[in-house]
Amino acid sequence: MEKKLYDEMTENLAALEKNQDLKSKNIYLFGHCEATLTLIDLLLLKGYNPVSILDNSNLKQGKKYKDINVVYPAEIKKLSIDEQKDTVVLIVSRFYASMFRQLRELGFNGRIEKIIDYNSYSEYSLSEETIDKMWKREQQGEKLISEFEKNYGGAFKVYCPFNALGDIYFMISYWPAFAKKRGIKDPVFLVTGEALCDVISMFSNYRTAVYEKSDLDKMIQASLYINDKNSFIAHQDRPYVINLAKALYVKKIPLDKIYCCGVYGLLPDTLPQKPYINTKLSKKYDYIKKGKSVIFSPYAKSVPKISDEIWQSAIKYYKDKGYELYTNVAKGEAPLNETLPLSPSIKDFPKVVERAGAFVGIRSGLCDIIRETKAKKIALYPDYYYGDTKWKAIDMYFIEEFDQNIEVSEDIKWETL
Amino acid sequence: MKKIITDVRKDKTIDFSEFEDLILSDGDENFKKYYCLYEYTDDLTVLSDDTKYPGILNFVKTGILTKEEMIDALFYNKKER
Repeated sequence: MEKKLYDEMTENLAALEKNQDLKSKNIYLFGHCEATLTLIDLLLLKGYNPVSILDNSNLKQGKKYKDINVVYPAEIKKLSIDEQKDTVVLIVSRFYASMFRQLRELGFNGRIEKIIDYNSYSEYSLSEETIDKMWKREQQGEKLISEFEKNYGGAFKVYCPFNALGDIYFMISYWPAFAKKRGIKDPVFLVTGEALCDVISMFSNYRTAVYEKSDLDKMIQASLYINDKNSFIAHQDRPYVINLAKALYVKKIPLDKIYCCGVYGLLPDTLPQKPYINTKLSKKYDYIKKGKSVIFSPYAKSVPKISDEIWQSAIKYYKDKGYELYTNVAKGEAPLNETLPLSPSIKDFPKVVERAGAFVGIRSGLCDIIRETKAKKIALYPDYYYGDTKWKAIDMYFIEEFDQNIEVSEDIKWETL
Repeated sequence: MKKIITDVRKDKTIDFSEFEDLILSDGDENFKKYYCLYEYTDDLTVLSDDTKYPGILNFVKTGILTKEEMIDALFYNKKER
């Protein structure tokens, strides 16, 4: 989970603890997702014992996380009126609004608390208060657009509302074909972080502008409201007006094709642009043993963890083969046991992997950054479903350019790879 | 009650005649006032072909989905989420 969101979660939970006697409450979570599991870890650390995880998906029923069962939301109907008074449902999903409504429709009248505000676009209410709040938000968005236009003139705005390396990679790799189709000459990509600018710069010297996510959301809403035709929202899922993801309920469409065909309306055989890889690597990486090092990448946002046992078995295998061992880490992350930390920039990462010669990583956007890198590359996929679809992560994120794509469910026999 | 709010019947490249009973082209007053201001309900199924953002219609235009698959996807049981 992103640090900002984790901080928001811990702050909101602390505020809830202060305002309510959570220790006396039966705690349910709604939505079996990575954020919910992170919240459960936090709750357990604080000494709480959540009762169940509510989830509508048939595929998730019977799953457990740390002895907490996933059950249908209808289970909450079994609570008596008095029991409901002593119950709180915590939600960290972006589907808060529809989950809130579903609980009320099920007759649940206990407290429902939003712990992270993932989705500032949605509130299922036509109350005066809500409409007023949304008007103010839209006005703030228009002001931000006006400031942008003072700085960037008539540049075409490309909104990238989600902080994900992989989404940005696909977005920018198909951008040239889309821009040619639409005759767009002067784009500025509006993103939520510097690392995303780095991904974009791997393809060309496009202009970028970094905004806080909440501000970008406001600008996007305002663009919709004022019908700003000098803009495009280049994402496959956000905000609510984009309904591409619904296609996954009926068909498996890998993420790159979602961008090619869904986001941009390009034909399936359209070739993406490939990134330009730095030809020279800084001498500060000369200490990495060329062709005989392995870089592990065990960390990823919004993805279930892979067990320590798997990583340790990989470490043992490569160590026995005489490899030097490194873990790619961001601030606050610890290297795996018996490995050294490594933190190259996004731009340097492909060349660092090439120098090392081997990469073993949890499937994340970082894997897309090194698709074209000449090295032995292995992607490990936790066993989970993509969103609320019936497709597994490996179905959606499979990388043709990697030597191995492995769904991790039991031990891996590294010597056979 | 299945309904789609859409303006894409103006798109002559795609024939939606077989889905006429599903399509509501004008929407209701709340839709006109608020849909672009925020998502005030998830009861709506909206099909649009707007230059400002992507839409599921692109999958039909590029051959990834048939029209029938698109309609099935739009009306997939929302409570499955």
